[in-house]
Amino acid sequence: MAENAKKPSEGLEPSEGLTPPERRTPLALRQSVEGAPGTLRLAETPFAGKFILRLDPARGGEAFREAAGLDLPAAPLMSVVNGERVVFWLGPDEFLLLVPEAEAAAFAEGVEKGLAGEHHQLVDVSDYYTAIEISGRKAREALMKLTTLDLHPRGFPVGCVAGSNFARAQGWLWLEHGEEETARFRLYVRWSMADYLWCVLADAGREWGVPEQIPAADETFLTESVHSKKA
Amino acid sequence: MSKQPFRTPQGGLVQRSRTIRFTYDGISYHGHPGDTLASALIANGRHMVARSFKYHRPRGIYAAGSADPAGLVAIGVDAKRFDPNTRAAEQEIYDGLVASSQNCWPSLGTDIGGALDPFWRFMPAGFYYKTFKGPPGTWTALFEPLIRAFAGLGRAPDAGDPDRYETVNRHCDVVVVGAGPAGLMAALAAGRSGARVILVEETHRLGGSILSRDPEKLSLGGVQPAQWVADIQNELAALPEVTILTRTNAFGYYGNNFLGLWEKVSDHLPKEKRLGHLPRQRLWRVRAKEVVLATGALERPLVFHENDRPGIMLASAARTFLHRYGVLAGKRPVIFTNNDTGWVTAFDLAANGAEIAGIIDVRSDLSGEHMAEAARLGIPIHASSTVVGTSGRHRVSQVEVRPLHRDGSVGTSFSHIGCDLLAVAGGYAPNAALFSQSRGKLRYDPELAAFRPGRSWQKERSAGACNGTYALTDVLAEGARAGVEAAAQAGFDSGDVTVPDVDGVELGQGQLKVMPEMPSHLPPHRRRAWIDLQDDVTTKDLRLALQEGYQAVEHAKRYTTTGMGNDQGKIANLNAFAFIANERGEELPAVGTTTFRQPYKPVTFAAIAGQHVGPHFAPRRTTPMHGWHRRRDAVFEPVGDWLRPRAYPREGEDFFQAVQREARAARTDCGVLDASTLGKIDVKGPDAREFLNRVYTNSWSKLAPGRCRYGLMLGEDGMVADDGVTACIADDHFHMTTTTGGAASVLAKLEDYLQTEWPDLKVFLTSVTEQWAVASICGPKSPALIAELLDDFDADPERFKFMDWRDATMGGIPVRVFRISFTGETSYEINIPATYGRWMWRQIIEKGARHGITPYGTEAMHLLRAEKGFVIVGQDTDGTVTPGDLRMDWIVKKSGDFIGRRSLFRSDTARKDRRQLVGILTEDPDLVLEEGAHLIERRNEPEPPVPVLGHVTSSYYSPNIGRSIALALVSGGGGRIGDRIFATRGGEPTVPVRVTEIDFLDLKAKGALPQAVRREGGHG
Repeated sequence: MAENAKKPSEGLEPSEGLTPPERRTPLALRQSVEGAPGTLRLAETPFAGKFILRLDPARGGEAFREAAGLDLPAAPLMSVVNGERVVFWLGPDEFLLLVPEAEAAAFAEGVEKGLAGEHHQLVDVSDYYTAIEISGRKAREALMKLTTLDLHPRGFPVGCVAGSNFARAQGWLWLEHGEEETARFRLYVRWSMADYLWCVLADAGREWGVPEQIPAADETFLTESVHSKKA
Repeated sequence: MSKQPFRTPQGGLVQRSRTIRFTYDGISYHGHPGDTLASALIANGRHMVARSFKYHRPRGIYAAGSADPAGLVAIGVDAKRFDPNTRAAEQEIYDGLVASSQNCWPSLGTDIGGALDPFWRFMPAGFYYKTFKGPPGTWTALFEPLIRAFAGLGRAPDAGDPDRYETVNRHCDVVVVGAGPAGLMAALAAGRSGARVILVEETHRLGGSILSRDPEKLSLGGVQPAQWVADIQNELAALPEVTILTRTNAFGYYGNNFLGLWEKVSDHLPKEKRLGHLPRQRLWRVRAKEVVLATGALERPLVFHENDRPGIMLASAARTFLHRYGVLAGKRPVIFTNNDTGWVTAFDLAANGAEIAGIIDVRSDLSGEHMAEAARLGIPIHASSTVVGTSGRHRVSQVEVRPLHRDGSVGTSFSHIGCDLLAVAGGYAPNAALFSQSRGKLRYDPELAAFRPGRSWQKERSAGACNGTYALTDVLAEGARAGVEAAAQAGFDSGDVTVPDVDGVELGQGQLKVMPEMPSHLPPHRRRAWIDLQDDVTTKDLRLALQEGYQAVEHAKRYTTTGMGNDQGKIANLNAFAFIANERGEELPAVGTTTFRQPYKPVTFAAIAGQHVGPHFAPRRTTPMHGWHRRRDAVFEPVGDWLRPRAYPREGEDFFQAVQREARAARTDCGVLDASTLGKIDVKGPDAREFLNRVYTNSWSKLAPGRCRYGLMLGEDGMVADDGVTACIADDHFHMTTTTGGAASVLAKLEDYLQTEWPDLKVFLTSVTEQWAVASICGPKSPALIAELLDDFDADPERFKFMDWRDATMGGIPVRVFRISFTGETSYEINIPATYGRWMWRQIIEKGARHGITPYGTEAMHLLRAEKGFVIVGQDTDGTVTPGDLRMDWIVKKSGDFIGRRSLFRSDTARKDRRQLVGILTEDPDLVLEEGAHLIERRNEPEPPVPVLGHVTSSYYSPNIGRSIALALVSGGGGRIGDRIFATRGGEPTVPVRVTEIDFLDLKAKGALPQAVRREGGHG
């Protein structure tokens, strides 16, 4: 383990009181990391409203547009952006909706109302996923060390969304911005795998100077059965 | 500058201005940047670098690249960075390089194993199958260790590998393998079209075979070969979509144009110059639309008596050492050839100061032009002659030559020629290994006396020498055509590509005369003519294999080991096939070839594992409360990919004591479990109830909103596959839970049923496992704690009943609270959005303090549920257990179909003596049985096979029952309640146990626990 390797530390516990509800995202203890200027930068994008929408777009697409203020993507693997609201195509009847957190409750209510007569499912997954922002001109190269997706600009244009394995974790990758110098991806990953993925992404960036990151869950296991009664 | 006696005064592509020091077997040598270990050693007059595999014969450098069968050395001294079986002809030298010989003891020069050589006659092919017979056990105890001590190559490093490795994925339009003349033209043509091109070159330098040509005698487009290469390299480097990978071997050609490339990023650098931020090696996994193979041709050895000495090498290698590295492989060479390229080699060596001791050509009809040139240079010519033997202990010093007669015999007259190098030229064979790996069909070309690519199977084409095209002008044109065509197939237009004019002598083979084995005056059994130098396989071995019935090439290969090992017979195979064909009296195409398999050469496991090692091996999934568990020094265990606290030992407490304390507290006061890992699926749609009816064994038609139910899921085979509690949110909306380990597979299975079996059902499924952080609170004091934790919440179990669920808020945050239990105690499960999980947990610990809150881990959880007789799918079941086997018939509905129902009526699933789940209580209450222990009918184990009644599936010491408890699957168990049977304990006497019902808490409450029989003298 390199000496400059960073492992998150929880620090001292504050004295326990009747603390107000406090939130923490899976990468809350990770500082954003960066390689040589412009090459690769990793940062968590915390706290956004996220919903999975299951809906047959041919039957409910119109109603959704009226309720949500944006279209469902017309083509597979693409996204639709309207201001801060975004829709990802995840499957023929499956979409990920992103909205600012402050609007999330009203947005969900509006969509539910608009789709009331249509068979659909709207599920809050705001805390299910977090997003890792991967930016810089080496972003594509770094990601291609972890995924078999073709991330060349010809294979993965701006606005493209694809679900795949990134190293050993599943995630949804979105190319938000595509100029070579400022390529900016967002990788939506499940809570429990976020720290693992953060660390392998940093490892992929070491070539360009990103500091090593050590997974938080480095505990040793006890797997043997231990149930002898001691006198 | 130090003395390098075999370095030419000028020429070669090494950087002569700088000197590199390295050691080989402790002796210090000098070389130059651009040298390989082989070229530098030969420059220093050293040919012998190794001992052979079987006979420990001296071995030298035989070829100038990756095809070299024999020149294997070890690199490094560090136990962590020790690379055995490295080809001297591939390893680039660097300052401080430490290389050593292997497979010899005490030293390369005086190797004890070499004493085996005189006994070669007693070590025929397959001798170990025949010789080392004895009583059972002698093979593993005696013979195998003995053989291993002598045979084999290299030794493995002793310590873990400290270097970083990496795998990289790429998609591209055209991969060009090989950067010789054909590959360069192909890459240029494809690159100019704008296609994404990857050019792969095995060595550190582009150019391939033209770097082995005399630059004074060849120009391309008016410039010397090296300049022509540099110009193309510059143009390619400027093309944004072209990637040039040097020091990279395309080792595998797999299905759908998928190639494995192995890049040695820093193996050529001294340790202190290896950059920490770069991996040592990379594995490129490339998916190509089109492939151009330009892998060149390999020269064939000649097969004659004593053809294995150091100082004997391929003529092509001698030319490469000369022109590429500026090294004369010998000052007094003899050339032995069956084609015209041997003559060119002689002239090139002569032009650089060698005194050619003779050209021996097996042919009688020789080129007049070459004869004249040889005469002009004063080179003795032995036409229609053959080498029949060599001498020289550590390097060839003399060859014996005899005339060849028309009838295939040799004359009695002989001459001895003194020499320090014997360059053999046996003709070229296309290197079609990758083509063959791609499933392409090889085709025999009688003119080349070799196989060349025939029909392609994948989207690839071969160009240049690997396609059997040897004339440079044709090679360049074919390369360009291949590049244009590949780009076009991938959708790109290359425009016109000009092929440079070639000015110079073509390196033609002329009329080739292939002889499977050179005739000899010696009888066949006395000849030692090597076919495979690496594996020590001679013609005698192959002859024996054929005699003993191993006629097919694949059989002969395995019997003799020809073509095996680290080089896979790159240059040996064709000679072996030709020899077998000749011995069988058949044509070569009828005999065929062995299969070319990946990898082309050995790839390190480290490169294959890449970055996915150590902490990056696999995700360890953690819950939002993980940090708290860590600080409490929890002992963890892996559950699926998850890391879960198994127990929280306190200061001065061991694991067992912690589990006992935790399990007690959960029943006397209040316990809390992090249950966030349970799988959760949101089920929504008008047909949701019908869907649940079909996937669970019980009925869901009447479950009201606000209520929960436990369900068992079966596989189509009727066996229990998963279980969990599902809550009704609304008539068309359910919250399903699954086991931690089954979450992903259950969702995939259910989605599969919806899409393929029941597309008519209007149901959507979405995983919400990680949306919720879950705390399961149980124990008599839990209602009071829940009331305190939640806002204005009536937690009274009389009104908030078992299997109810409610929406609530905690500190204003919406939560779902379920009255479900895995312990049998009064329980509440709070689900809160995951970002609040850590906060929720701390609230529970803090506010629970005065209720005696005790966090408990999975071990106490398992113990608590066993006390109640609840099963764990995957522990008490193993995929062969039906609901009836669990004696849970009550959960199987009588009418209505569900997955697996039909299988429950098979004769086998309906039979009465199936193993059923029962409780097991030892007569000695302190004795804890081993999980997996077999249960038998009688105290004394009969002779095997022992009739087994069943086995223990779960076993604990229970603090709440006050004795050990166990669950077991026992044949006809339901009918055996109360029986006394026996449990085996590995190596120790069996112990008597009592078969009981499984709810031990209930047995205890009823006073129905069987009488305990304590052991004499208590327990230790």
